[in-house]
Amino acid sequence: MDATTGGVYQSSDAAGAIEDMVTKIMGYAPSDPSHASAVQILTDHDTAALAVQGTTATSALRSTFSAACQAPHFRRSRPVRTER
Amino acid sequence: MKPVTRRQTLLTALFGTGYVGLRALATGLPAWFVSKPTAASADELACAIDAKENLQYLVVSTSSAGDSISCNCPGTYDASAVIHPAQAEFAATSFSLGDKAVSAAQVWSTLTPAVLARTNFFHHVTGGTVHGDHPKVMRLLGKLAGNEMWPSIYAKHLAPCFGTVQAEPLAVGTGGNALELLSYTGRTLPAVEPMQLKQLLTGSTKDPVVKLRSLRDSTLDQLNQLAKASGTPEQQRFLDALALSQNQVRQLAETLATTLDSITDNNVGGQALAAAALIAANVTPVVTLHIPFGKDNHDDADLYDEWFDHTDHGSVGAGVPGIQLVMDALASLGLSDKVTFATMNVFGRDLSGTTKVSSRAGRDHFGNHSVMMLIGKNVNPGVTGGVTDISSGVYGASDIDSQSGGSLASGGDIPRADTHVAAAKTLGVALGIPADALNADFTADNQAVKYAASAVVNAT
Repeated sequence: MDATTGGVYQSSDAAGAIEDMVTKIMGYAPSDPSHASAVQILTDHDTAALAVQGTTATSALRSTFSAACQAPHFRRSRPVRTER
Repeated sequence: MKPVTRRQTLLTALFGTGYVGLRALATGLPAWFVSKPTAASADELACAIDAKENLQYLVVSTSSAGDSISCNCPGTYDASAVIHPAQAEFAATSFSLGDKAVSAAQVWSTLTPAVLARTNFFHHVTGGTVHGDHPKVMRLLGKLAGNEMWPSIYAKHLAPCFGTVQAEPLAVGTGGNALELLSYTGRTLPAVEPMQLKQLLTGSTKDPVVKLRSLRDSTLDQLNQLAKASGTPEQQRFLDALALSQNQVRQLAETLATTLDSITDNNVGGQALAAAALIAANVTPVVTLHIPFGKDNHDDADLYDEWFDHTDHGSVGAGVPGIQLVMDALASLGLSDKVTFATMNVFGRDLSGTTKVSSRAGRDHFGNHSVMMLIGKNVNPGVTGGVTDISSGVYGASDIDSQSGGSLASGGDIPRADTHVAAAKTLGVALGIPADALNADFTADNQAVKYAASAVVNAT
């Protein structure tokens, strides 16, 4: 994160990073009904972390990433296909 | 390419690629779920829920030295011909294992009542005669399918349901002794020393990301609720049963840090703390360590070394106090009901019938008698089997009645020649593994060997 070279996420684009975390790390595809809620929860976390005195944008996004890594997620059940 | 450090190699070995184990630790969820959450089947989820109630992790002390742990425990004082050290700590003493009165060396009575109430001493033969037999004895002399070691057999059954980071057992007490290394599906496994583990897992609390954890805790609780809201009833039940609240996670992390900080050396105390920490962190279902009980005491005037280790006179966690150290370490992390402790050595040592042992000048290797000690929630306290005169005053393990655990000179439904296999099966059942499920792990002839039903409670 914010590495000089080879970093995956940049704190200057926290919104893009969070969108990617929710989709790729937490496994909520953009079409998933919970996707938007997950993005909101992580965005709120990043904002709240930044408000903590002495926290840099990099540390805030790292903390957001840590939360995304620890979040559970299940595969959605597929609807049962009915025979015609 | 960046060079891979030994620290990275060890961390990957312990916690998996991407340190999935650390994520599992942080959530309380099984490693297989954390690594592939979208692939978990309903059966796997149910298995993990059931495991919390029925299955046991295993901490086991093994010794290629063939220590004299088998010579002075309950069951050996029933035959007056068996020789014991003359020191006060070996005076015949009556005490209770649960509701059963037994007689043994006084030092055995010093285990706490809570431990004694869950302890069974299982007398058996091993067939091993030299130290080099240890790896063979760990494979029950070829009687296990695939020539697997018995700790690995149990680990294979336990790991999927516990969702441990690794299925392989882990040795923390080999002390560089290659004979006590473990193998798993033919691979020899690396051992970890307690001090190595401490250095690997203790870190800084001043990192800015660490300082944000209370804020992160609240976020994680929200994310857990989100996952539950979109899950099936089975998935919701899984999260309710296994996912830790962030408060619980914090308590576990702080207790683990305290435990790891308490490791000061690689002796039994350090091994006990390392074993408890590895199980609390759900790294492995089986940990082996090594508690000395007199070592290889061929030449041991007055059986001094036997006394020295049994009583932990050297304050290294040897002997009976060493077992108590293990039980205390498990209790300190709230694992008393989740972990079974056992011992199993390459062989026992002469009990009687030789000039050397009769004059208390030492004990030689003895493949005709050894003792497996079991302590755990599913263990019925008491003595299983015992000793009998097998040849002109030489005492060895007797036959066993599988239902009562009684010692029989002959005619038991567990013949003395089968007592090693029976002991291994009994331990498996005490770990909560169904006896039927274990059968396939024993080669054809040994599937008929019974486990001692008398030694376990809650058998499935």
